[in-house]
Formats: sequence, structure tokens, C-alpha cells
Amino acid sequence: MLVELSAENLTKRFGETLALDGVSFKIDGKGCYGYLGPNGAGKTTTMKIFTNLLRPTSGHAFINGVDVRREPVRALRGVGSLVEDPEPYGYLSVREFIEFAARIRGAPKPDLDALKARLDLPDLQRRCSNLSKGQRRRVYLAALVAQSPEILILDEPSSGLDPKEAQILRDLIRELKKDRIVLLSSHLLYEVSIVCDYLYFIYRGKIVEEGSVEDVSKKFASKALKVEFYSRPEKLDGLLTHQFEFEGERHVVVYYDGSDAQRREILDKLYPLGVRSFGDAELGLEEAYRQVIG
Amino acid sequence: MVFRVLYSENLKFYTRTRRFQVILPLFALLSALEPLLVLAGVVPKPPDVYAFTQGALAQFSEYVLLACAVLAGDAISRDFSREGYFTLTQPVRRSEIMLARFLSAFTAALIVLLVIVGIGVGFSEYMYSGVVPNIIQITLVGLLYAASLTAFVMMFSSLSKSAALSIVTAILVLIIAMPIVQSVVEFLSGVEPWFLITYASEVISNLAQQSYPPHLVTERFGSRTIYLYSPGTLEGVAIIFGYLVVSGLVAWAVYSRKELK
Repeated sequence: MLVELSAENLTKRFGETLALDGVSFKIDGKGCYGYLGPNGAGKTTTMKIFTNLLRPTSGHAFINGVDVRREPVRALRGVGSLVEDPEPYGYLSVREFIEFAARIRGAPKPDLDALKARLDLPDLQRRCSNLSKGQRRRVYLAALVAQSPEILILDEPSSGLDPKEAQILRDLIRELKKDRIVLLSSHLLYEVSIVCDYLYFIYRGKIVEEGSVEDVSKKFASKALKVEFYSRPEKLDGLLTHQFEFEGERHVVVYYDGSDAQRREILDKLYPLGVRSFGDAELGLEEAYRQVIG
Repeated sequence: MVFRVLYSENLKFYTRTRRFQVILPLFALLSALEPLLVLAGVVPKPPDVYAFTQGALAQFSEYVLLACAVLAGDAISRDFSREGYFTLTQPVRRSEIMLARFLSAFTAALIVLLVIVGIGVGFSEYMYSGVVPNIIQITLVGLLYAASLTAFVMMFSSLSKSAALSIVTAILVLIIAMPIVQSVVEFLSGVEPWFLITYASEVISNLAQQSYPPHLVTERFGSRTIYLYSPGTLEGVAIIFGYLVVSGLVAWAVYSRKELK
């Protein structure tokens, strides 16, 4: 069965502000896809278009080949979403809300005890209006799980959660991504690096970089060289024309354009100062984010 | 199936709101107050069942209006709060959501309305050993009026993000603005205010009269002529029904296109 999420030249304007500027991507395999960018980059706007909360100014969002704008009911049939800061219905108990979420999709009656244990849910008889933010978020996630969607769209799902709740969420995503698509927007690099398989960097409404977590990390890591000296080197300022920074006393990270020529030039200059070891700096996602988005 | 789920959930919502839990006993108490005062001999007993029913219906219209405004005021606007991020992302047509909301708000208002009618009928039977002959028609037009008011208030709800604002606006329009416009148009200008639902609702109390009032009565006060219109039964029903249709269409047009920015 087709499980696919794609954006075709998605553009969204809010008056004079261009929130999305021709975003295109295609996700067609199971796994967790990170949608990474700073606040205001266009992450939530994209998520809202995919969940029919916003209409694109131009372009199309397709879910399983169905245009969300034209046929929202059909497109959203297999989609569970957590966008912005949603709340379960306050007048319902935890049990009632989760059962309602399943019933509205025609899903089988959920195993509430299993969900309670898995997500550390509060007392099932408690009214949702009386829950803390973290509890409400877990109840909401339980409702999504009860709906058994084949695609999950999660917009900064760990926002406002304490470390324990965030861990529960990450464990859940890792489990869910095994047999479905999870599109996860976040600006938390740690979270993205441990749950996502593939990344899209969005900045000022455009996708500016994409690739698997390993490839992206490697790509940017390879543009920095980490050199270890026997003792703290002196006079680096006059010696190196490249940007560099100390990591502790004896380690220096030097940034360059990734070319072999520059790499050789840097090492030739540094060898006389007593190099003990060197290698690609393992800067990973953080550096990728810093370089792509600034 | 989905519609039934939506309807029952929304009815649960309305019947669990503090609004409903306050207005139901409050309006029941207020409806029973005057007959109880009559029975206690504090106020004089109306001469016949017609006068008694007319007095009761004068309050009835206000209660229906307030019940509908208070209950349906957030019927749509609550989707533009955090709960909407769940509701509107479900694979359900907005028309179905709106219809379920309308019917559940109407059902909740209906419960209030039937309790009031039941109290009125009960006292009428006890005090006059009967009810006015048109009680069925009065109840049916009352139901249509409640449905129409619910749709009218939902229209305001679709235009506002705040439930409180839509409730207050609807009440101000129905209780203050429309009667003022009606007075100016009807009494002073001599034009029939056929475009006002509050005017059309006079059908309900007119039906309780022994003989239905004439369509137009004019009286002279010095050099000034005062006009007093009464809607015919069919005319009143048509106006009330027109409000139901137009308000429903406007609410639907706004709701179906609204975005959650």
C-alpha cells in the first residue's frame, strides 16, 4: 500500500510575509523524517498545510497521492497529527477522549491499560481539563496511537515536556517509525539526531539542505579538522588564515572548505608545532545546523 | 457513523457545560415563579388560560433566546482554540462537524425549552384545568424559533475566535439592537419589520390569544400615527425559517474556508 507524503512547490503568504517559498520534498518510505529549522522558518506552516489547517497560496501537499486541499477527508484518512499546542477535549475524561479519537476513525477499541503503561498516562477517569500540560500531551499522543495512523505529523512534540516525558515521547517515536512515516518538526538537535533517519533543513521558507542524519553530519564534519597537539600550540593566529577555535588546551578545530588542497595546507602549517593526531571533527548536526542556518 | 459519534460527543459537551447546568434549573425556577406567586396569593390570578399563557410566553421567548445564545455561542469558535487542532485535523467534513454542533446545541436548547413548556403546561392544567387550544402549534413554532436562533448565533460564532465575544454579540443583537430597530421601523416609519426574527417570534404569543390579532393596527397620538404590526402565522414561520437557512449558509461558508493561522 502506498504510504507517501509530498510537497510540490508549496508557497504560503500571510499578507506581505512569505512563510513558505516553493518547498518541495517527497517522503515515500517508512521512518522518521526531521524537519529542522529555527522559529519562524516555516515548519509549522508546512505542517498546517499538510493537516488542512491552512491552504497553500500555491503549490500542493499530497498525502498518499491525494491533494490535501482538494480532498482533505480522503487525504487525512491515514494521518494523525500533533500541530502547535493541541489539547484533548477538556470536558472528557482521559478514557473518553482516547476512545472518542478511535471511534471517530472507525479504529478498534483501544487497549487503554496498555496505552496507560506505555505512555505513563494519568488516571483514566480524570477530566482532561484537570491535567498538567505534560499529561495532556501524553493523553493526546495516546489518542493518536489509538487511531493507528500510517502517517504521523508531529510539530515540535516535545515542546514544554519535562525530561522524563520527552524520553517517553522519543521512545514512542522510535517505536512508531518502524512501520509508518513520522514527519517531525523540531529545533532540538539532540532529539532529531536520535530519532530521525533523514533531515530537511528549512530556513526562511525554503529547504536549504537535506540528507540522512549520517550524511548531513559527515558532510559538515568533513569541513572541519580536529588537530591534537602534544602541548598547547602558540602563535596560531599568525600562522593560520582559516577560522579556528580551541577545544580545551591541546585540541584545535580548524574550519576550511573541505578541499584536499586546503586540508594539506593546514596540516603542513601545523605539523611543525607538534601534532599528535588529527582527523575530521565530529561536529555532527550541531555544526551542520550552524553552517546551514546560521 | 462519524456523524453519530460527533453528535453524541457534542451533546455530551453541551450538557456538561456549566452554562447548561446553570440555565436549566434557573429558567425552570423562573418559569415556575409567577404561577407559584399566583398560587400563594401574592399576585392576582390571570382571568383565563389565554392571559396566563400569554404572560408565560412573554418570558418563554426571552429564555429561548438566551438559552440558544449561551449554548450555541461557541459552537464554531471553539474550533479556533487548541481543541480545534484535534477536531479539524480529523478526516471529517466540516459540514458534518457543523451539522453535529448545530443539532447538539439545538438539542441542549430543546431540553431547556421542553422543561419550560412542561412547567407552563403543568401549571395551566392545575390552575385552569386545560391549556390553550394552539399549544401544539405554539410548541412547534417555538422549536423552529429555537433552531433558527441556534443557527443565527452559530453564524456569529463562525465570525469570531472568542466564544464569549460571539455570545455577547448575539445577545446584544437579539435583545437590544433588533428591538430598537423594530421600534423605529415599525412604530415611527410604518414599515413592517419583516426582516427581524424578533418580530417574527411574536407569532408564538399571538397564537396564544383567543383571537389572532390583525396584521396592522394604527393609532393616532396627536399629530403622529403609530403603526403596530403583527406577523401572520405563515409569514412569521417563513421569516424564522429564512433566518435558519440564511444563517446556516453564512456560518457554513465562513467555517468551511476558515484557516487556523
